[in-house]
Amino acid sequence: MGEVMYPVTEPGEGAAGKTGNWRWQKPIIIIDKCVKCGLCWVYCPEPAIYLDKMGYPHVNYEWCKGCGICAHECPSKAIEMVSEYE
Amino acid sequence: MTYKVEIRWHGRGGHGLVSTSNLLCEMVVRKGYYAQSIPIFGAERRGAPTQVFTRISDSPIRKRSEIKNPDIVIVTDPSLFNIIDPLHGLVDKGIVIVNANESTEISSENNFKIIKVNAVEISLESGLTVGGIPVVTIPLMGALLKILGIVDLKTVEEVIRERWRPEIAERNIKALKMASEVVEIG
Amino acid sequence: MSRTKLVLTGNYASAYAVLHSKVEIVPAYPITPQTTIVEKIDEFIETGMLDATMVRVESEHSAMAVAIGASAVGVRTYTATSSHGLLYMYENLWWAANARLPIVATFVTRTLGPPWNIWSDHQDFMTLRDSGWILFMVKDAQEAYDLTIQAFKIAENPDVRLPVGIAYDAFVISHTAEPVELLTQEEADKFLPSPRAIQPLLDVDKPYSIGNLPRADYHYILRKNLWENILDAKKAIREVGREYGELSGRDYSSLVEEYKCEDADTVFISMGAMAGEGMDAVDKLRDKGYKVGHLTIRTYRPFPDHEIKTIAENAKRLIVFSRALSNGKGGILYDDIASTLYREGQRIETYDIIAGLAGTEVSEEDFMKIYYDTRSGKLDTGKSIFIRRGEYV
Ligand code: SF4
Ligand code: SF4
Repeated sequence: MGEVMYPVTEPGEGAAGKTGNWRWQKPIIIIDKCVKCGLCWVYCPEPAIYLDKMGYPHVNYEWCKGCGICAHECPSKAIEMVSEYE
Repeated sequence: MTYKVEIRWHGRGGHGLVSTSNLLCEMVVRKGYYAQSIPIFGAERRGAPTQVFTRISDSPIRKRSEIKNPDIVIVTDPSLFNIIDPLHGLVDKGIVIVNANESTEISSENNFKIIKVNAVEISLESGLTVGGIPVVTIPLMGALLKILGIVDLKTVEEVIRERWRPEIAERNIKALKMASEVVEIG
Repeated sequence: MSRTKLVLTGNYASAYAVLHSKVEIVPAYPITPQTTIVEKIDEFIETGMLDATMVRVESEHSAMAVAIGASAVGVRTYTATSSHGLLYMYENLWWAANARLPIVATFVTRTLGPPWNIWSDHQDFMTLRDSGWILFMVKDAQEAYDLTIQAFKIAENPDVRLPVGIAYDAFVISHTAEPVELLTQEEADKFLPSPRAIQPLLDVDKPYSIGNLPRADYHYILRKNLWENILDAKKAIREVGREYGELSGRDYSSLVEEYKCEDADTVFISMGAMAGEGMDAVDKLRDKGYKVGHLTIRTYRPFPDHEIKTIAENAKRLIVFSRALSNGKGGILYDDIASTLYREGQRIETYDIIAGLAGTEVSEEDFMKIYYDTRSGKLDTGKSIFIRRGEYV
């Protein structure tokens, strides 16, 4: 009998490769304003945000698509979206 | 000789036809027979005319269609004669077991054997009521069991005692016994 | 412990099979005439006989969604539905097959509305024909019990890994009480070890995602893989059926049930509750000297092509009874059989009989009438013929 194949994917690079180069604007985290609520980390669809030991968020720009969701969700306006072309 | 009996029960929703027919099947299966109890479901409501079919045989039963030519018909309420014809298709010399007292007129032009069982009275006397309403199907089954003659009293009691707690079981057994005394075999 | 023989409805027989299969989770939503299956299972759980979780969901779609999740993490999963509930579950039924999840479900066949109708035909069941579920249709309560237990073993076979559905007709099987011999729990445990042995699809220590967007070329291969596996499943079905036969004395090693076919020139083909009537008709016709047989299709998917081919080598006339209709085409079972014959290059007389739609009864007399009318040339081959309670309509 033939082997069974499953429609599953292990975590890793997607079929489209790294998604960082899709970005035309990028999120900049202003650590001074950040209250460490972690919402950006929760909402990032990629996910391209990771939290450091202190609980502060950082962006992995290899994967960040620049969608701006993190900036939109941040309650203390600690994330600014900046154009990649300026 | 193959043994094959087809029974059609006529009653009203809430009379307990289905559970009584199933109970009968359990008894005959214990005696090594095959049996089948088919409820006919429609827009059931309490009081509406309903039917159940029981097939008993000494060989496996394959068919599951409605019984059109029963050997025995059981009628739990004589008023059903006014709205439907419970005897339709009954075989020649077929048996009718009906819940009725002696004075109830049940006319039939055919040579059917009509057995009247005062099931209401028997149930009340045996204390066999649910919410004050007499359970008429049990005495009717008592009469039926006597006619069939394939299940001994010991098996009847065994099945009943497995199903109900002692107090209720005794009432059922009493009703079954009383009903079987009404029936004269001949 | 010795085996017990109980008088059970088809639905209670299914519930007992679930009990003896030690199912761990039952997400279900009630619909007539399926309801008493899950009611009985609930009673087993409440009385401590079955250590399972009953998940009360808000719809059939959710029932299958929960089943998918549970089965993916490795839990033995069962559900049941019927008719419009089956259609409401539909999207997830396909999902379960494509995700290769060994869920077992009972489908109590019931006519689709409108108008409203609770009685049996096979239209709901036939919508699963192409879904990738392994599909059985049984003809009595004993088979419902036996095949439900076997279904888990087939579904969980590492070479199969597909959901399995067991279908039977509303009321005439689901609510008809008849004697059913049950295995002892020890026998069932030996036949079907618990808990489920095969690896779960999901594992918290090794994260995966199911159903991510693949390349189309890869997706094509997944589809062909399922197709190959479901055809290969015939082997597993036969093996499990043989093993069950050795255990119980009731053999299921064939995908079909042949009745007096060996020397028959005419063979009725049907499935489900009406098969019993067909076999009774065969006996009556044989008494009159006609060489007639009956073939019951028990395994509907994968389709028993080989068995049909063998029958058609000896018979010269096949009369196929379909209880479901492909609107704009014909009897669904008939088309399955006609296509098998065509692929095999067999050209024999075939009849497409549409019977029992909307819960109308199909009786022994209907089979006999059709037989006589095909013999006398009154009926056209290959044309859909509608018969309702003995009358052509
Ligand atoms: S811009 Fe979008 S992708 Fe990038 S870090 Fe924010 S939420 Fe994530
Ligand atoms: S959402 Fe804003 S405040 Fe909250 S952790 Fe992220 S950057 Fe900081």
